[in-house]
Amino acid sequence: MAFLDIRSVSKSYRNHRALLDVSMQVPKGGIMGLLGPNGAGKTTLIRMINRITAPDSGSIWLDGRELGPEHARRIGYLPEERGLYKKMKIGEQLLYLARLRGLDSGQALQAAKHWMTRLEMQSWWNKKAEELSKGMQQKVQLVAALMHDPDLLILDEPFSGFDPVNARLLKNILLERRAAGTTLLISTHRMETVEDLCTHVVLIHRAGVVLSGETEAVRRQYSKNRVEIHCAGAPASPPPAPLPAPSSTTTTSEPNAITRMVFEAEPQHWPALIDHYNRNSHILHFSEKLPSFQDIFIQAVGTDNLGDADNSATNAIPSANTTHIFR
Amino acid sequence: MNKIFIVAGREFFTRIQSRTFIVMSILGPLLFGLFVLVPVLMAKWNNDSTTVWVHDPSGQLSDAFQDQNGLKFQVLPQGTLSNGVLVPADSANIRELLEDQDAGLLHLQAPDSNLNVEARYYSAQAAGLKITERIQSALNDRLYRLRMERQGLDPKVIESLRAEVQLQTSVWTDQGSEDSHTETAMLLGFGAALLMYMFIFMYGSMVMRGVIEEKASRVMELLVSTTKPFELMMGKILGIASVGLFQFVLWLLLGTAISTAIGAMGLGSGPGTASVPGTVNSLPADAQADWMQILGQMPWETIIPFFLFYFLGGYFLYAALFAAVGSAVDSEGDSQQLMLPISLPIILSFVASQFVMQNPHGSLAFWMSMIPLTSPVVMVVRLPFGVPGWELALSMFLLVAAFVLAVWLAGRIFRIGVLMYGQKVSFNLLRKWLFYR
Repeated sequence: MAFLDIRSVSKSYRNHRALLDVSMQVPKGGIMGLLGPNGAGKTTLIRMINRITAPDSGSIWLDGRELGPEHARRIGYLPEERGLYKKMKIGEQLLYLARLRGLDSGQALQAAKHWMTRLEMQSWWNKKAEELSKGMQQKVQLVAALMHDPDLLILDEPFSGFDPVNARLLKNILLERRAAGTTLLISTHRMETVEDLCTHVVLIHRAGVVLSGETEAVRRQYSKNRVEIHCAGAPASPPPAPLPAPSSTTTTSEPNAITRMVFEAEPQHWPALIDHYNRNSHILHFSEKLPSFQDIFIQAVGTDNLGDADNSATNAIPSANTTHIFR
Repeated sequence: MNKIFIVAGREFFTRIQSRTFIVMSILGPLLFGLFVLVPVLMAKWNNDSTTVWVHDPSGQLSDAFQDQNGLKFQVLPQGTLSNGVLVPADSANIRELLEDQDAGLLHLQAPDSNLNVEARYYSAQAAGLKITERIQSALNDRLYRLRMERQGLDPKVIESLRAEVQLQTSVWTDQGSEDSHTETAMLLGFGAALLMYMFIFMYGSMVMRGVIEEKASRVMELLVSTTKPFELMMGKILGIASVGLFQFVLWLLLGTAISTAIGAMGLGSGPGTASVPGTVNSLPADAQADWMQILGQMPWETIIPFFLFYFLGGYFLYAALFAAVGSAVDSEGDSQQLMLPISLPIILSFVASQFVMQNPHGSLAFWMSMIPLTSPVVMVVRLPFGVPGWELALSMFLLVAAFVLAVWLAGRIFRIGVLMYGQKVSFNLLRKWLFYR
């Protein structure tokens, strides 16, 4: 049974539909990547799981029970719009937020110390939030999301604003959490995050789910049957029909030249291709070229909508009211 | 329930550690001292001396003017100016007299047969009220006496005929009558109302700013995801109330300490009681004793608990409304218009309290002490006059009910105002939002 189960959730705002009949399941211990162009409804969905906003229809279930106030203890949240009290000391903010999540003072203190050490920010306890850089504040908020050891960790663009060192630290922590049984939901625009971390993906576009499934399955689904073969030496003669000719060929310079070839070939032709080059040359490398999530995203969403920050116009609900523009 | 105290604790401890709080706690008593002192000083500085030249051809009027409070009267020698209407030939003399900016010329004519006088005041700058009123009353006084004398009346006899009755007031109870002290009650009620008014505005708007800050810094997204809006609002209101009370106690202690110190140095006029602002030590010693006796006779044991109740209740209700305003706007600048509907009832009740004092058991007093928005101020004004028990009970119940409703509403507006911008507002949706767990 799914740990996080979202059942046909819909939500409309005054002049556009944020989500329409969206369903998804995240198994326990899975890392779900939540993808979608700007304005697709990702943040609305995340806010619903955090009980900040309610769905117009549909329901959300966590670990077999419908979402309620008691789940605050079990959810950790890193919002997209990061916010801290500017004038409050970091240590005190962390204790406060952890206690609101349901820890007692002793547990909160212990957890804050543990995570501040883990994220190499021990010396920040008495600093005020306004003294920290944006990336540093983000680390504070990450600690706030992790402190109460939640069963479900929701991160909205967790890697944006981090330098490579901190990004790797974060990645390690997330994998570690997953190994400890935490379920993760990560909303992101960075496709390398998906390829690196996520076990599952769901892509929301125009308020609905466009594709979803396990990461590898989705990649295979979008596969163009493209294979790459590297051979030693100069290009050999192309394979006879019905085998396809290479769609591109590059050769490095002598000595020890390598020829790289790409084929668009149906899987049933692959053994014959390998056979041909084994006989005429020396194969160094054979692989299927799976599409990157970058490609999948663009193919699923369509290039016409990229860069269209506000797609409310495309799924506007016809209305006699004047259209308001919101921040 | 527990989260209310977590939120309240944060509000309290972060605020009392802030630099503004510490500075204000120290400056408060000093500012209050200045507040008392400045009007006195202003009255003193206002007494720049003015010389008034009096032209009095009859010689009957000029000695009516007494030098006082910076006004000096000098009689012009006969013949300096013409006795009737001023003519161009006089202008050189007048110019010389009025060369000094702080000088004036009072040009009188001889009283006619009915003892009427034409008087005109000339000055380089338009004369202030202080001068004209003094001159008018002195002239009126003098003419009144002259007329009495003409009628053959002795002014001393007239003076002795004036009556001055001091009306004593008593409340009749079955145990017999008790003295009631209307004036003391008025003063007490008014002082309490003023205190409440200040508290509501100072700390109520602090609640509002706190809410706006949480919205602006986007902390609220985390808060709302962990805590019910009602708990958030209630915690904030309780926490800031504690800050206010704590500050009041600090001010009281510091104020007492300062005035005691001043008293010990022999600079103040009174002993340690000088911290009761401006009332006690300005009276002569026997009046002070009277006052103390009257104060001692007030029914404190009933006044104080109810005062505290209405003080806190009024603050809570208005703080909740301020919180609602803070929830609905994005910046403090936007809050101004929305604050008007909240400020109106409290200003109204403050204004009405003057009429309530004149008739503390009338229907205006009754209704305004029932409506929760006005009852805190109005009821406190009525308290020293004695209020029937059932009225108190009903009014207190209504106040508590209104407070809980207002906090709940503020919490809802907080959630909606913060995140729901753009929501299609229909009654159905509003109801759904208001009842979302």
